[in-house]
Amino acid sequence: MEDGDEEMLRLMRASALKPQDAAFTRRVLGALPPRQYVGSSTRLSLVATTRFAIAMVLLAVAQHWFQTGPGGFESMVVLLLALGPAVMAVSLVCGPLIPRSVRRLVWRSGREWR
Amino acid sequence: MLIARVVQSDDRRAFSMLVQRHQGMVRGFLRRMLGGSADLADDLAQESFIKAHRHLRKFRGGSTFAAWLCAIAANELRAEWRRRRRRAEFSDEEWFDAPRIAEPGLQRDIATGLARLPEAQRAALVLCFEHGLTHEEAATALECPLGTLKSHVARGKASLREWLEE
Repeated sequence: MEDGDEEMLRLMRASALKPQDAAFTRRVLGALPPRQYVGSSTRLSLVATTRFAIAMVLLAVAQHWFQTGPGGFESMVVLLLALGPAVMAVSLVCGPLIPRSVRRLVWRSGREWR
Repeated sequence: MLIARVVQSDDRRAFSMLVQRHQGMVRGFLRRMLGGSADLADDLAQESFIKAHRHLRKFRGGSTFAAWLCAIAANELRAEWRRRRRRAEFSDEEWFDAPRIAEPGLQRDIATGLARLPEAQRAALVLCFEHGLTHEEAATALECPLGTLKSHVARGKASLREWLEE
């Protein structure tokens, strides 16, 4: 490399813009989305387990309905009432449990969650 | 390793150290490319770091983290230029920034000389010589073939030398 080049590159390095301050770091951290305390693998397995549990509960309810007929209504209400808070709690931690494609089949909501 | 801590447990302290370590390069690069517009450069730098945080899981280590980060910043810059071009199509607004450097002596000449270069040459020179990226890293950051990058560097250097010798 020529001497002129060396001098020019030395000047470029010397005049480089490298702004650095703690305020910018704080600004970036402040703009990040809220921290997810549950790891992604934990979240996925929790979602899968809960979906499986929901399917099992629905199956049990259906079987109960089939065996006892309308007379077993109270027990089904109790089961379904217990299911609600469980689904809500897991949804809060992990996001919607019921995939959007399935939700669309069941009901049409004007609101998109993700 | 800081990146692993951020990916595994969303460690904000580790991410803040990454921001501290690389903000000089990202903000400096964007300021040079935007002709010294510090506020806009910092907005784009912030957006670049947020995107880096969101996609850090996709960083495979095929290039250095600095090159990967610069690629995100360069994409943000291109998006900003596209927005400006669109705005300029509907008004008489200039979509580029005229050099607004007011530094004394030779530094002013370097800054002004850089600002007069075509964008690709300026980006190549700033990344390679101001921020010390290798040619391979700069090519990754600017998403161009290595040969093209080297040609931008050579042409940029020649133009800058000419400007300084005027």
